[in-house]
Amino acid sequence: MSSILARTFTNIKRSGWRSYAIMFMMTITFVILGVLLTVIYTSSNIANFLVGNIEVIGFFREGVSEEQILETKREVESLDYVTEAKYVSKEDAMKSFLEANQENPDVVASVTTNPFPAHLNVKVSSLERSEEAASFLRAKSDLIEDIDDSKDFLLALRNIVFGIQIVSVTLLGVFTLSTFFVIVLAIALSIYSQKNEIIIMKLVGATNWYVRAPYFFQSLIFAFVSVLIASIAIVPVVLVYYNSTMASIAGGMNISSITPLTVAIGVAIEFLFAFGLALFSSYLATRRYIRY
Amino acid sequence: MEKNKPIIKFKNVTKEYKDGLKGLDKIDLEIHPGEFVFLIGSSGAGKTTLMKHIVKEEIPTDGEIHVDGEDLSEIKSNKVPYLRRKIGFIYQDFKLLDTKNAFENVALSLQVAGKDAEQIEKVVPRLIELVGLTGKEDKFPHNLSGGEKQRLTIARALAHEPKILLADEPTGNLDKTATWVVVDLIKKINDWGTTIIFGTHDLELVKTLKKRVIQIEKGKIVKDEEFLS
Repeated sequence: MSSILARTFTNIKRSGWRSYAIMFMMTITFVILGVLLTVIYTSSNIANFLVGNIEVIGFFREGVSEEQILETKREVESLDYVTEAKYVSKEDAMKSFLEANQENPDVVASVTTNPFPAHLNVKVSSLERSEEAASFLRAKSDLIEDIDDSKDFLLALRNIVFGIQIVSVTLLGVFTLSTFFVIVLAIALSIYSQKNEIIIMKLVGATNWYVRAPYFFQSLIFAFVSVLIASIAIVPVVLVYYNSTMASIAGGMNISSITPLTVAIGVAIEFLFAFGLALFSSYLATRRYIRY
Repeated sequence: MEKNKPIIKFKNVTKEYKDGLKGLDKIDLEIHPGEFVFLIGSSGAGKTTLMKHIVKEEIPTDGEIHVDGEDLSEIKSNKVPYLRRKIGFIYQDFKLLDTKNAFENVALSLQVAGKDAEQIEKVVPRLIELVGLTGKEDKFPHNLSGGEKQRLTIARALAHEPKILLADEPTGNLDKTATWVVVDLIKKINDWGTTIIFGTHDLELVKTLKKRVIQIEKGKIVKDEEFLS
């Protein structure tokens, strides 16, 4: 083993600028990977937030009794795609309005009578099923005067989030592929420059593992150093700025936040991904090019 | 391995390349433990090809090869290194690593077999002494003469205490004096019981040593005699 490790470090030393070039390329890839992981994490949180807040609101006509409203609520709750139905009375609606505008006395003063109708806030399990909830409420036109369905807006927002995720994954694929080729090329060059040594080692009885192992360790070391540098570059920025930036974008709503544990998981994913990529690339490179 | 059982056996071995050329053509051959066999023939006759088949560097298109009781066709590729550790190989062009000194070149054979530093420190000086290169452990191949380089390859080949030593034109690049130093060394190794296959063009050497001679031409054995007269 010590002989294999010694050969690994000799290979890295002999490769000179090639070693630095490959580590530079891999570091850039893993910085981008870190950024893309953050983007995917954030967009997933936004998607979850949207799913958790899909709401159809049915506004009741004036004069509809509370009994009729509660009966409608029970019917709505019995639907399999409805996750929650909340009844808001006229009085509660007014109270919420006053609370929300307590710092704007002019607005409060302009409301002399209670203009807010009683309503039912219906949460559904998916965006697609919000239409069914809206149809159900619409069918009760004798009780319900109007329906507020934010489906189109949420659908557009969700499509944007999906678009961001697809672009992120595609970029991830492109950078992974280019790193794969860089590693294969670097190992191929190393193998070619050590052709005689490999031939002689095999003739004196070296096993395939003995010949190949230094190339595996070499790419693992490259992967380790690259992820380490990438993490040093990204992690402090994410820890310091992510939560405050997200809060300011979302207007104070907690759509997506990051904890040190989340960051640690992200870094662990990067290490695993880097090691996997390094092993796969070096396995293919040694299989393809060690043919002496 | 019993003395009467061949250590190397070729049974109707043919090697045909993609272009139709035959490297070996229906070779039948038996070499017994402890034998010293000269392999002679013109350049390209098939001497090196035959030796490469013994270490499974080449695979026959037809026939069977047995080495030390093992059918080579049944040895999987991951087991070939263990076969090669039973066989020492020395070459006309030495195949030494220019970036390693004499000690490290010999140590390589032991390192690939997983021997630790302590064993290497113990064994390598003995091998270097055996071939008469004591004091030149730190010299790199380019600082050694042809004869010294060849003796170094012999030391490397002996690291695994091989049962068979294949010598492919080992004196081809050496002057007369160096040739006889190397030949004497190989004879000494044969006296210890190692089977020797010695490929050469040097008929004077073959006649002088009076050992078994196998002549190959165009991949076929054309002569197999007790000695060359």
